Amino acid sequence: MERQSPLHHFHLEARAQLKNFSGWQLPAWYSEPSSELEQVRASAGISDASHLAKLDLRGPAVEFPLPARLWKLTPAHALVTSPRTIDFTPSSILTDVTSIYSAILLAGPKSREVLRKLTTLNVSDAAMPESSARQTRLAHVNAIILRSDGFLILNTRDVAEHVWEALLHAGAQPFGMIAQQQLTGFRHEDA
Amino acid sequence: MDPIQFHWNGSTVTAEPGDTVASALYRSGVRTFTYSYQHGRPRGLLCLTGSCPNCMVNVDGVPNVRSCSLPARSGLSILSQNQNVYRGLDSPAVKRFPVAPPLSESSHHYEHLYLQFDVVVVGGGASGLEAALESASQGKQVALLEKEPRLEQAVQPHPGITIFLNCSCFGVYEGNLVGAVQIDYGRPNAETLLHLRAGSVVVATGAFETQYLFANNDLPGVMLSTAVLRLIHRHGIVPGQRAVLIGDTERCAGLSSGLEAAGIEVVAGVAVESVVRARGKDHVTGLVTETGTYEADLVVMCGPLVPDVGLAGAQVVSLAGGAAGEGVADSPYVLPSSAQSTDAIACLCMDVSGHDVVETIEAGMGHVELIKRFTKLGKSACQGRMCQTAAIHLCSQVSGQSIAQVGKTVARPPAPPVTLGVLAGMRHHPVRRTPMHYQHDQLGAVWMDMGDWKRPRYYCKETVEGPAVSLQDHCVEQEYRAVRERAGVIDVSTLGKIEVKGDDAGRLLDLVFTHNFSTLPIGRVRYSVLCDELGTIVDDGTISRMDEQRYFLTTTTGNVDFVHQWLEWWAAALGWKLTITNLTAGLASMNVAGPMARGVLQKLTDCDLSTASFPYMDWRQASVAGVPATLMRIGFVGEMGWEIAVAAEYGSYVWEQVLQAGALPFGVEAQRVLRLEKKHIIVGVDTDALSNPYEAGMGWVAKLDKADFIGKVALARLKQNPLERVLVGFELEGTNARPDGSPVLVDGAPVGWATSVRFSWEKEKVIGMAWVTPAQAKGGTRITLRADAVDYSANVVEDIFYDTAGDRLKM
Amino acid sequence: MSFLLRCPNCGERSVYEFRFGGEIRKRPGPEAGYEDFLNYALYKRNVAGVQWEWWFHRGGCGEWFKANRNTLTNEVHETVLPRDEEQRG
Repeated sequence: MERQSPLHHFHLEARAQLKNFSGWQLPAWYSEPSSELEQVRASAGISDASHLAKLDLRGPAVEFPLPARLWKLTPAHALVTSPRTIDFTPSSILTDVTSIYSAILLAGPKSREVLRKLTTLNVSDAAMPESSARQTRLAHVNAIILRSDGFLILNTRDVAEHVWEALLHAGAQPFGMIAQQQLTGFRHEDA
Repeated sequence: MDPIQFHWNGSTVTAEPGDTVASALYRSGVRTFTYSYQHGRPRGLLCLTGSCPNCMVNVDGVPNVRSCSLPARSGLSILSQNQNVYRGLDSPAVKRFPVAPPLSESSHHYEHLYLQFDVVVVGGGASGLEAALESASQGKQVALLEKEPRLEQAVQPHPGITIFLNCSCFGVYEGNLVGAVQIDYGRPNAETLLHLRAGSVVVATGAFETQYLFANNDLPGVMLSTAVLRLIHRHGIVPGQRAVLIGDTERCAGLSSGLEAAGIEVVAGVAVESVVRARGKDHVTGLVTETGTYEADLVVMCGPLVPDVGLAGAQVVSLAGGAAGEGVADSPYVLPSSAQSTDAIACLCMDVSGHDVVETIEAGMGHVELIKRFTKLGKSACQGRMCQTAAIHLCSQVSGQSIAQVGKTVARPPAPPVTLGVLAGMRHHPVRRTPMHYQHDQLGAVWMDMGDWKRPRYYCKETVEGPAVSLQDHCVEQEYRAVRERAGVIDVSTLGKIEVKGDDAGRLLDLVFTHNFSTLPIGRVRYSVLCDELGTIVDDGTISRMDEQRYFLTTTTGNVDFVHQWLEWWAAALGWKLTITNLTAGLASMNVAGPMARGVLQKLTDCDLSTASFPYMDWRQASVAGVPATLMRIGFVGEMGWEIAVAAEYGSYVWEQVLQAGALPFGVEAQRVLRLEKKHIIVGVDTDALSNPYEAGMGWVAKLDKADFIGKVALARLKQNPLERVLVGFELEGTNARPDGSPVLVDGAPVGWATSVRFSWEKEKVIGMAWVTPAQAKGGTRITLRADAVDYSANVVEDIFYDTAGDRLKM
Repeated sequence: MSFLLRCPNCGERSVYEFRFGGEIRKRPGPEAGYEDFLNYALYKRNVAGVQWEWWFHRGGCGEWFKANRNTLTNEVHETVLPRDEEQRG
C-alpha cells in the first residue's frame, strides 16, 4: 500500500489531487500545475518532497550513483538524498533515515525573504552557495537546510505540519508534484 | 483626496497630511493630552521627540502610545489616559472623558526578521548617513535604521546600504545583536521585530533635549525648544502668541529670532536661576521670576542636550554626531531655588517632585541609585530622559557631593520601551504529532499535551446518562475493561526510540545503564534504568539487542533528547566509536495489550506468537498487515501484549488494520490506571529529581558487580545507608476522591506526597503510590493525605494491586 | 545574553542554538576513593574568568565540543571537537 506523507492531512483539507509518486501518496496539484509553477517563479512556493530517500552517513564521503546527491553536513557527517530508492548496505556508519525526516522544497525568488522570518541562519547567496547544507533552527525546531533549486528543508516528521504552517504564514504558497517535477527536472514513474 | 479624520475621546478630529496624532490634536486645540499618573496634574506636549511621557494616548485599545511618533491616519480611535487617577471620583474633569477600554486580545500582526550585516548604523541623520556611506564605499553591507518616516537628507540608492524607515532601534546586545521595531503604517497594527547581527555598530542617534526643574514646570504650554521648532517647521503650527524663553543667553538668542519670524512675540529671555514658577491652572498664563512676572501663553525651555546612548547599554559601539557629544555644550546644569518645591516635577512619569528628592536625600539616600529606588524617579516610560540630569544635580547641590560621587544610573536596553507582543511574535508554538494523529481525532480523542506532543488522554464519542459518573470516567472505564478483558491498542509513538550501533555500542550501554548489555543475547529485550553520578533515576526504558553491534533503546516521551545527548557526551568524552540515531519520529509504534491480544495480532501476521516461540521480553522482525515491522513482547499494563513498530509512513495504515482486527483504542489515562494496578513507576511522575532506585523499591536494577557504570559509586554507598523515604502503594478508605499529588502528613507536617492516585476498577476503590517515611512503609500502616483542606485516610499496601503472580503477561 | 559561539563544525551561531554542558572535569576511575568521587560529583570550581567547558550544538550538528570562554565577559577564545583535540596532542 502507499506510503503517507506527514503533510497528508493538509493536502486533504486543501483538496489536493492526490496520486501515487514512487509509492508515496502525494499532491499532483492543488489548483492547477501551470498556475502553481507560475506562482513559484514569481514569488515563493512550498512543495511536499517527503518521498525523497535519505541516508545518514557517519564517516568519510562515499560515492553514490545519480540521481543521489551527497550533502556534507560536517567533516564526519553527510546526508544522501535521492528521488529514487538508494541501493546500499546498512552498516554501523550508514543508516536509512527516509522515514525520520519530512522534506519541504521552498523555491522561488522570494524564498530567502520567507526563510529570514523563521531562522537566524545567514541564507544569503554568499553564506549559503549552491549545494551547501546547514543544520540549524527554523520556526523553533531543528532543521537541515539544503541549497538546491531553492531550499530543501528537512525536519523530523513529527513537526512537519508545524513547519509547513510556519512557511505558509511567512508567505509561501503550496505547489504540487507536477510543478515540483518541472522545477527539479526529475520525473517519477508512477504519476 | 479624502481628509484624514480620527476620533479623540469620541469627537472627530481632522488632520493635515504629514501630521502626527499629536500635531493634529494640538492643531485642533487640544492642550491637555493626559493627566499625570500619581497626582492627576494636566500635561501637554513637551518634547515632541518621543523622550517624555506627556503625549501618551490609548490607540484602538493599545495603551501608552506616543502620539508624537504616530502618523495620523483615518479611522483611529484615540482616548486620553489617566483621567481618573487621584482626582476624586466626582471631579468634573472625570466626567469629561470616556473610560479607556480594558486590554483585550491583540489583533496586532507581529513578524520577526533575522538579518545579518557588516555594519549597522542607528540613526539616519547627517552623521549616520556619513558613517553608512563610508562603510558602504569600503564594500561592506550596511543597514541604516531611521525611526522617522523619511530621512532628513535625500540620498541616492546605494547597493551596499539597506535603509529601514519607521524603524526604531531599542537596543544593542551582546555579540553586536541589534534589536529594532519597524512599523508598517500602511497596514493596521503591523510591527516587525528586526533581529540584526552586525559586524560592528555605529550609534548616531543624536542628543535629546532635557527639561529644567522649577515650580509648575509641568504645566501645558511649557515646552522644550525642540518641540516648539518642530510644531512650527514640520507642521506649520504656531504654538503661542507671547513667549518667555528660559536658558543660557546664547541659546535663547538664537531661538528668539526664529520664533519672532514665526509670528510669536518673545517677551523675555530669562536665566534659569531666576525662575520662580510657571503660572496657570490647566495651561500656562505667565512666568514668575525673581525680577518680575511675564504674561505669556508659551514658555520655551532651551534645555541642555544629552547624548542618546542608552540603547547601547554596556556594549562597545562607535558613536557619531550628537550621540558622541558633538554640539553638546559643556555648560553646567542650573537649578533655581524653586527646584526643591513640591510643584517642581523632576520625574514626569512617576510624579516625583524636587521636594520628594530632597526629602529622600535628607533621609540618607544620597546616591542617585537610592533616589531612583526610593522615589521611583527614572523608572518609567521616559527612562530617565527628563529627570536624571535634574535629579543628579539636585542631589549634588543638596548633599554637597560632587557629580561623580552622586553617580549615574546604569542605562540599559530596551530604550525606548518595546512591547512584549512584538518580542513574542506570532503565536506559533511547535506541535508534535504522531503519524496516527488525525485518526485519533476521528475516534473522538480528548487531547492532552506532553511537552510539545499531542496524545489522546481518552476517546469519547458519546454522552452519558446519570449524574454520578463523569464522562471521562465512563470512557476511561470502557477502555480499561477492553484491555483487561479483550484487547486494546495505544499509540506509543511519542516515546523515545534511539538506535546505538558500532564497535563500542555494548560498552557504552554498560556504562550508562544499571544492567549489563554487552552480554544481552540477540533477540532479547531488557528493562533498565539510567542514573546520574549521584545514583538518581534519570530515565528508564527497554533495550533490545538487534545484532552483535546494534541496540534499540526506548525512553520516556520527555527524556529522549536528554538521553541522546547523554549518550553522545560519553561517547565523545571517551572517544568511542559508535553511531547514535534518534529514530523517534521515523517509527509509528503501537502497543496491543489484553488477554485476546494474540488473537487480534495473529490475524495480521504469520509470525508464531505462541509463548513457546515468542516468550515475554523477546523481539522479532515480521510482516504485520503486509508491512515490515518489529514486534517486541513487552508490557506496561500487566497484560499479554506486543509493541509493533513500523516505518512512520505506514503507521496510519497499520493502526487502522489493528483496529479492524478487533483492538479497541485506549488512551494515556486508561494506561495510567492499568500500570498503577501493577505498581509500575513513571519516571518524573512517581520519582523526582532526587529519587534513587533503593527508595523506589527498585534496588534490583543496580548491578553492583559491574566494573563501572554511571552512578555505581553512589549506589554502592546508598545501598549501605538506611533509607530516608520509601515509595509504597496504598488504598483509600471510604471515598472516591483522588487526592493526586497531595502531601502525606504526620502530625500535620508533610513527610512525603502521593505521586499517582486513581480509581481502580480491579479493587473497586481508589489506589495510589506515595512517598512515605520508612516507619510507615509496612503493609497495613495508616497514612493521612490532605487535599483542599480535607484529610483522607489510607492504608499502605505492600502487594501490587493486580495479578500479583504476573501470569497474565506471560500467557 | 546573546553572544556567539563558533561551533567547530557549523561556524558562528547564536548561543541559543547550544546547550551548556558544564566545566570540564576529569572523572575519577572506579578505584578512586569516595572523597574523590564526591569532589567530582558535587563540587565545581566556578571560575570567574577563563575556563574550558562543554557545549552541545543541539540546534545544529548535534555534536559535543569544548570551548575556552571567559565567564565574566562571555568572550569565547577557542572551540575544539574532542577527537581533534586528541590529534593535537
